[in-house]
Amino acid sequence: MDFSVVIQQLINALTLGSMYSLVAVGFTLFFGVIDLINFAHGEIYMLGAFVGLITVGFFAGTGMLASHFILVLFIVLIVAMVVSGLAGAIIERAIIRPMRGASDLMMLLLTLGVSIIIREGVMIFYPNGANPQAFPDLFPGGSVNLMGIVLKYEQMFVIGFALLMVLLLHVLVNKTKYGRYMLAISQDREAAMMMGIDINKIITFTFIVGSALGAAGGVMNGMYYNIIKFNMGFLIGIKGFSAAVVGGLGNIYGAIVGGFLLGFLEMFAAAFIPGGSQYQDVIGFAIVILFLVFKPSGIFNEKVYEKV
Amino acid sequence: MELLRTEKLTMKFGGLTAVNQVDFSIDKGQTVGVIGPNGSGKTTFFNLLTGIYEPADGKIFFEGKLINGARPDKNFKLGIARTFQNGRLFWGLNVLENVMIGLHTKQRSFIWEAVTHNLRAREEENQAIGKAREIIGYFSEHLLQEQDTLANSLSYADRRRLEICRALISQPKLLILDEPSAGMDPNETENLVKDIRKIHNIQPHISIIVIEHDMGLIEGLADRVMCFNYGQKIAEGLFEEVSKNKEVVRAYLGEEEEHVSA
Amino acid sequence: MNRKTKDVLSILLIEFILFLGLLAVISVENYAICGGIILFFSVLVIYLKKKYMGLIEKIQAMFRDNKRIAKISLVCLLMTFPFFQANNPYWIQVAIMVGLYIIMALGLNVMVGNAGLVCLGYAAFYAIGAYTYGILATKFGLSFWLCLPLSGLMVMIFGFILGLPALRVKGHYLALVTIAFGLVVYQLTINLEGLTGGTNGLMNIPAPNIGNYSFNMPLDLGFTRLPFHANFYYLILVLVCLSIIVATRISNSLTGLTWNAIREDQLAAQCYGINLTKNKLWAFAFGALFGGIAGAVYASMVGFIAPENFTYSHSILILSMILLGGIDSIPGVIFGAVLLTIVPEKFRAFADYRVMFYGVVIVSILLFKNDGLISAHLRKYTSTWNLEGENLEKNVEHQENEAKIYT
Repeated sequence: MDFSVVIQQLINALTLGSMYSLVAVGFTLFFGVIDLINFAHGEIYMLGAFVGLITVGFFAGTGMLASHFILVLFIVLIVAMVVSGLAGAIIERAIIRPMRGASDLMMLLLTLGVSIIIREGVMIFYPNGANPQAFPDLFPGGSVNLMGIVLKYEQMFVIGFALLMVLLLHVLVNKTKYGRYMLAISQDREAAMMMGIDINKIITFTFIVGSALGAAGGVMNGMYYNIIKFNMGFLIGIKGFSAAVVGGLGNIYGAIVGGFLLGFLEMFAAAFIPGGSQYQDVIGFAIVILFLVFKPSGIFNEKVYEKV
Repeated sequence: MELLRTEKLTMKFGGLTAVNQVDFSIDKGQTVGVIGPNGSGKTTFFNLLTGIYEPADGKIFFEGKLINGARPDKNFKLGIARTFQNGRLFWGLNVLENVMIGLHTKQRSFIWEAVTHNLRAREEENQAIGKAREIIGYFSEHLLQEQDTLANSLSYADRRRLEICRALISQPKLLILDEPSAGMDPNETENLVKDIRKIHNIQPHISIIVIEHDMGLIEGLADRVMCFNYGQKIAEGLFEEVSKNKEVVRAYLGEEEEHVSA
Repeated sequence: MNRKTKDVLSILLIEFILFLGLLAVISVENYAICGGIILFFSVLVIYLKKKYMGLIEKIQAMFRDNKRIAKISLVCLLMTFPFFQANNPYWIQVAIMVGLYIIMALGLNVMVGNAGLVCLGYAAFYAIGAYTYGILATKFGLSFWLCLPLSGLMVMIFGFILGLPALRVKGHYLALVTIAFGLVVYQLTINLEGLTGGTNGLMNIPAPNIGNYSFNMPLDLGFTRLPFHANFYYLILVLVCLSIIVATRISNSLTGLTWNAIREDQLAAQCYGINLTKNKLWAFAFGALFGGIAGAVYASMVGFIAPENFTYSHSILILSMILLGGIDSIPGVIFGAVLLTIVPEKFRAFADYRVMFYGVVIVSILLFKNDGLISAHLRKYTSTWNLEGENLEKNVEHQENEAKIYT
């Protein structure tokens, strides 16, 4: 096997893994603060991509796309993250909070319902939303060629930006007041409440952060593949959830590692197993199921004993 | 005659040793009280006996047979029934149904019998209802009147009583009661003691292990008392001996105190 | 005229009026009028429920006392349905779909309602049933009547396979496993082209036949000719009745009780001697069976199946049916299936909003009435057993009628 092909696939896998990680982090954050799997999170990712597309549309005629593409890129990312973060906050406030304390099954179905509404909403209300939408190239096409390995600018950006986000999240969680509160709530919600932490505020804040990260992932996806569709959130949602589970739900670093791991597995299954590209998803899910069966607590979490 | 015996039973959660090398045994017909401060490993010890956790080390023998790591349902079949500290009834089922579940191991009908609704299914259903009503009625006429009430709308005392009924209907050889008086007022506790005494009337040779903080309750019921602290057995013997044991007093009341108030 | 005859006559009358109401809703083409009728009936029912609780209870008691007559007469009435639609088989076809969805919703209810095992990939069982029949019939030429039990068997095997991970995981994790299972089956139907025909699907699946009479021939009764759909309609009617009986018996049996206990508290159930492995596996396999039967019948009816018929949205649809009607309530589940099949068909000009409608239904039912429209009634069968010496079956028919009021 050619060494450069392996490296090439490695870079592709890193790119894919970056997107998975950004989504997985959201799942793990929500689970940490309110023990909830937010099935609508994949749709937030999709929403992020569409908001990004609309924002790009504003710059389409101005020529700024060519001259100040870095600026445009950051504006697009920020708008998408802010809008989706707010959407996440609204979902939490309007739908999840009134149902807090309901059974797992109810919460799961509730977020499932929300995900359907968002997905179908985009399909119905976005002009021609049922068809795939072209996402313009934000980077001047180009790549670095290192010893036969093609490294696209977009890939570099996706990986770099994902790492930046991870770093910011790390700082947020470990160095700021809000991050500390989040940790406190995930350890013991009641105790946190007793200590005077406004848990509702922190939970909403967590939803904003998680959703914004997911939306960033969505924009990356649009930028990288140049095509987005209303139903792209479903699969990515399931994969993000899987990644979070593989890393250990509630563990932020686990989710990131899980995302990259899933990216690698899929990419390498597609590249090196004959006929693997057809079975890319099947292989991914088979691994996740095996993981759930044999190590349900994930890579990084300790075995959980049920409290009796 | 010996019913259950543990040898150097040990359980670890990560770095924490919750139960540390406990040797324990109980004879047929005996009642043993287990005391100890909160978090001293009593409930974990019970969870090991019923098979919810698998011991890290040591052995559990039930009627001379090694039952280490057997699943809770297997142990129940052997005759180990328990109640839970926080009361784990089937909240969405009614009183009668909760007790009927206790007979599950005695029933053989399954999907086929259910679908054809044949003689065996009908007989077993009627039998289960009859037995359940009988045992509920024995403990409380009032509860029998409430047989169609959901478990989650019962009073605290009735829940405990229902749990005992559910455990007893299978005619277990060993009954494990995990803090049955938690959250009860003195009056209710008194009734509880009566209920526990009644158990022997139904089943004379049953052995009972009971975790309690209420010393009065233990004194009235237990033939023997064992005290836990930091996962270790620190004392065992008659109530009078254990309650005066220095280490027990220290575990409960700190260094300075001399006596355990009964 | 004694009281009994009076009761029977009023039951017949009520059923007849409801049946006519249903026919009226079907035949009115105008959306506004149709919506109006539906709205009127729902408001009426809610009003009656609030104001005249006594009346409703009286009617319920009447149906309960004469349940056998009520059931038989209802089935007879439903049998006449194709005669009214002889010229236009469209609604017969919709009725068949209603039947298929009732069967599947009942099956899913065994998993989710009785045993509390979340399953978000139920369409996979539907697909496996359909493909098993399709492949056996087209490639090996086996007869439908042989394939039906074979499909059932196949699906149960897959139910066991899905049940295996369910032994180790629960809650959210189980949801993920079942979604993944659904997706894997979907991907396999696309990718195993040699067997399943890939995205093009399987074509020319034969219809069932009895002797020389194929179900694809119009039903000639001498005095009138019914479209061939009527054959399937009667087949489905029989299967639906069977499914309802089976599902009701299971839920009322000791096995149903055991599964309920698992739903309520797994650990406590295990500590009281319930073998989780055996019960969970069987709950999955048994629930799956319904889906497999429905799938085989579907394949034989339409003669063409493709992966697009068995997607994740179908799983969600079936789930929303049992949510809407009421988890673990058999009348509710039937009602949910009827409602969520007929309403979108009636308003098919708004087909784009269909899935959105399901989403809104799920969210609003959970937020405002999370035990469903006809919530599971508390099982009082135990005391009635003692009084009557036998189990009082849930009065399915009556609830079905109630379902029609809403539609």
